[in-house]
Amino acid sequence: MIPIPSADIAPAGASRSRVRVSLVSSTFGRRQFVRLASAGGIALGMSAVGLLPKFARVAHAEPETHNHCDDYSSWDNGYWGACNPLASSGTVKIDNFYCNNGTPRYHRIDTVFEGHGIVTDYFRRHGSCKNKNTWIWRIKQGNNPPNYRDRRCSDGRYRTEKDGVLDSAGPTVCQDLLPETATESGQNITPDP
Amino acid sequence: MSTEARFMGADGSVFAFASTQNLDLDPWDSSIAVTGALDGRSPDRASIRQLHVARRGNYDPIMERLHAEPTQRLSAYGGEIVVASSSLKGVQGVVFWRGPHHDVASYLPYSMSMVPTEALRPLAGLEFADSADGVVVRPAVHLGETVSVLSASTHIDGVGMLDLLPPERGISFLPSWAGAAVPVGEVWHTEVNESEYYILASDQGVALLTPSPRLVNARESVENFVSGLTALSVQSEKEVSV
Repeated sequence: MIPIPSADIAPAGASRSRVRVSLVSSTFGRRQFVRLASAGGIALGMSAVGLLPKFARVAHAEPETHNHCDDYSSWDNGYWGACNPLASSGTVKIDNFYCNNGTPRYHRIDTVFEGHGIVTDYFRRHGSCKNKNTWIWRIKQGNNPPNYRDRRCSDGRYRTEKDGVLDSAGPTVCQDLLPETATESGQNITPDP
Repeated sequence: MSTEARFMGADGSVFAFASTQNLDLDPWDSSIAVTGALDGRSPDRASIRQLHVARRGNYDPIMERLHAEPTQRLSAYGGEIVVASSSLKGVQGVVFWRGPHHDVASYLPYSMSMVPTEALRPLAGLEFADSADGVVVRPAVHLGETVSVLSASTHIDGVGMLDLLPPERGISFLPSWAGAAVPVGEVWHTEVNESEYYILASDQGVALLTPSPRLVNARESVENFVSGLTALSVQSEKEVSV
């Protein structure tokens, strides 16, 4: 068995990742580093990798949820894709069927034997939404159906096979409508987690 | 017996890996983004169209499950554009371009699927060049739109789902500390909200491996897979054409 280190907590005495340095260097290039360093007035003696903090993984288990996503519903003329950040397009299949039974609910990760030789596996897509999996739409317009209610969305995908042969596959979204709470002004809102 | 897998992304980039093992792989599929010019008058995210590339025929069983029938068929770029809307009120429809080898698709909100001109909007202004290696998607008219690949994926039987990421995106998944040394590079493990995955990196690419939910001993299957992995790369169109 290979001891595989955590990606979230640095092991004691861990050395620096060689492939990360190599990838950053080949992807962004030495000249790019020099330009960045010069523009920022940063000493050139610093590690080139260190110049790109926004590309570094945070050294702890990152919560996978964006808690306050902008509300595009009024902008998009009614075509706002309920649980989709890509406003005008429904893009992927969205349903609460794709949610697990946890609290809070995320995209399911299980296998369903549907009978007649049909089997579907469900996966979660990590980091699919700006390096997180889940996002919460904070709707500011009350609770008019069908779209105007806060909801949690979690990215995943499915793969269905029939008699052992691939049938279809693709991305899916778990959509979980969040409970509402009446405020003093009478407007229903979803409480922050 | 060994495996060499290769997929051409919609932007002309090439996703590839190789193994000393004989792997049973699904045809690739890929999530792509068509990004329009930002005009400052609408949310940036609203200028992005996200599409799904899959092998030809992927959307036939999907139409069946949506209770959707084709309502429009148009010839385009050596294939056809199909719009299908569901007979069930409120259920999403789908629009896709079908070429000789691949489908390029988007689901549609129910209301959008019922309006012929609106239903074509996700694919409007795009050209498709299909081959067995992949389908290249290009804006037909230059309006400042760009096509990029978000991920290219394949399912490996007995292992799980492997998602290859473009370097700019993949790097953000890498810790600064070293992973376990494996023939292809380094590997890390993480688990979030009871869902585990592995991060694989070589000098030329990054991949996320999500174990199959059917595995009894996922760790052992993953370790066996990574021990046989000898190459992992994602090359941009520019690098490929050099």
